[in-house]
Amino acid sequence: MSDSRQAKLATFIQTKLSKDPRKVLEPDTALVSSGLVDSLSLIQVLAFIEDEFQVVIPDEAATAESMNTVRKIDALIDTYGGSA
Amino acid sequence: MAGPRSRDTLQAILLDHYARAPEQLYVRCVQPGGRDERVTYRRLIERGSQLAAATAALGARPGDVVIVVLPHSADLFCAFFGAILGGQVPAILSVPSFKLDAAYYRREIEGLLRRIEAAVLVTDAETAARLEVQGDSIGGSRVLLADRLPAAAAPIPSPTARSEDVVLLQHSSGSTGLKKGVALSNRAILDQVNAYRDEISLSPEDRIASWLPLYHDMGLIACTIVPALTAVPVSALGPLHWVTSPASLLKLIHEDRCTLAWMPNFAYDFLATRVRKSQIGDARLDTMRAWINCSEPTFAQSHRRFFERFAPLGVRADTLWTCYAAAETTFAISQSSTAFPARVERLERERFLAGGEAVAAADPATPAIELLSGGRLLPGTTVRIVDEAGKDLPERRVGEIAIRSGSLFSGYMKDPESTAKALRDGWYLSGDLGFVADGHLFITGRKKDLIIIAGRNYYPQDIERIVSEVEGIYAGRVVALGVDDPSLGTQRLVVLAEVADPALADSPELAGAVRAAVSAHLDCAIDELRLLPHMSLLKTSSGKIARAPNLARFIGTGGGAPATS
Repeated sequence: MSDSRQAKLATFIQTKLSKDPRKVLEPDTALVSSGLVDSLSLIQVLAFIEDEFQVVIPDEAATAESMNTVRKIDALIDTYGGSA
Repeated sequence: MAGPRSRDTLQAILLDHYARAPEQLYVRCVQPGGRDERVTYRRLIERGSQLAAATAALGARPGDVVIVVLPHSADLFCAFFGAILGGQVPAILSVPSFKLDAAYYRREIEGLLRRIEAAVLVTDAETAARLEVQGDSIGGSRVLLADRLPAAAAPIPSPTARSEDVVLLQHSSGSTGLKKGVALSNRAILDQVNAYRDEISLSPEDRIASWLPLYHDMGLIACTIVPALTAVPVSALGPLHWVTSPASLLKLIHEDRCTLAWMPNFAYDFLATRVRKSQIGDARLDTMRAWINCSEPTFAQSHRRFFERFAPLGVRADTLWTCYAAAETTFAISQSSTAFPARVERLERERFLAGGEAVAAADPATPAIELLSGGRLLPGTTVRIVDEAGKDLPERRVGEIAIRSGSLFSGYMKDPESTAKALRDGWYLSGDLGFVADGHLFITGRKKDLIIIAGRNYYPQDIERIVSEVEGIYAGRVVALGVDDPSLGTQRLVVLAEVADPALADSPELAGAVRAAVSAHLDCAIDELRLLPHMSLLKTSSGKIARAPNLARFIGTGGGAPATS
């Protein structure tokens, strides 16, 4: 778990993918279920994780539900990439 | 059991495959993480018969509606075809996404089950728990949990259905409450299967790759029923798997040497822009003889983008086909192909938008819109292009598309009023706008303001009603619109809503509540939301808030009739 990693994820999602970039994303802000992030954008989160943290999340783990908050995404990175 | 002699029902044809080639693969149901399921005709018929026997034991008689709500799995296919074998009338609905408000979805599905008098809901334990099913019934229907029914032998039903019998329902778009069950007979489906098979030269050498949901006609007819009746194997990914892993479709095509895929327009752009080289590996796409663009407005630009991106992997330009389809005609109305390629036309913008005239722009400097045709009519299908008064229009004039064919639906289930509006003197009034030119059918827009985002249909009324119910919004003063976005190859959802209190205009909290409500009730995301002071939205002289003029005023696009496709 990493605060700086969460901050990087939050900034990327807020500025590049959010439908309302004014809305500041906290670690537990709902992303997909709140309608802020389209499920079609999740692939861009996965690409960001790969580029930024060199971690590939396997298909079976990458779902809208498992990626619904910055904290959950961060936990996926921990699970599949070891701790940063 | 001897194979049935007549081949004029789905039941008889499926039993015939079972008798002739039980071990032949019907569908490879791909699951993330490699837990694939292979469904042969033996498994389809035997497990299907078992599920049909279980629904019959719960009271489903021949002719009764059975609703199937299951995730992408072997049992989804088996439950659907099993009901057909048992003479029941199946309909597939989507599994509620985790985003949806469970209590709301439960009320909606209860209403639908009651309205169409469904006998049984076939689902799984997880979905039943989400719907808070108490005991074994919901909305007057009994509940069968497919995942709690271990495989066991059951008698194979004998074919009893008749050609004219309604064999299944496809559900039209709209929220669950507004959905209409499109009833299709054996005869209509077989007419479509035969005509479509010939038009696309479908053969046993083909193999279909799909990621499409089965609660939509393109996934259900083109990628499930046509192949089951023609014994063409399918390699199927689940839609939720594909959306976070679009490259898996390309790898699957390579692995299974697939030849055909149907996709809505946005998928061409999505694949072209989101799939990374590293995810494709050495996959080749040379085996594909058709990528069929269907079920939302098609853009030539999307085809170009897809071709440029994937030509190095073996995609050929003449394999990019188009199709125009509707649930009410079973599926395809028109189709382009290698033999009859889709035509791209540049039309004079002004004359097109103002007068509905499709005039080719002679001069490259003339402001123009680009349209991609939906190909030619299927054999046995006739269309008329009619004006508001129902009068026939000549070639190159935009009007409503009315359709007649052997694959027309029998009516909307338990809804004679809607049926009477849609079916007039043997013609189906599609609500779509288009024109005919030199044997090509062009689709130019929707009469009913239908919004189509990433291949999924939404009625603006549904979105407007949900937004109206959010506290702080001035009820009834809301418009929802779909705006074409060529960069995404689909529409963006724009919502304009008036607030009850001036202090709430552009309130981030209220905006969040509106977005969350639409996501929880309709599983879709608003792309652009404007919260406006009361009395901002324009009204027509009759006092209605019209969508297009407000779009033009607040978003500054020329949105309106007719939309370009």
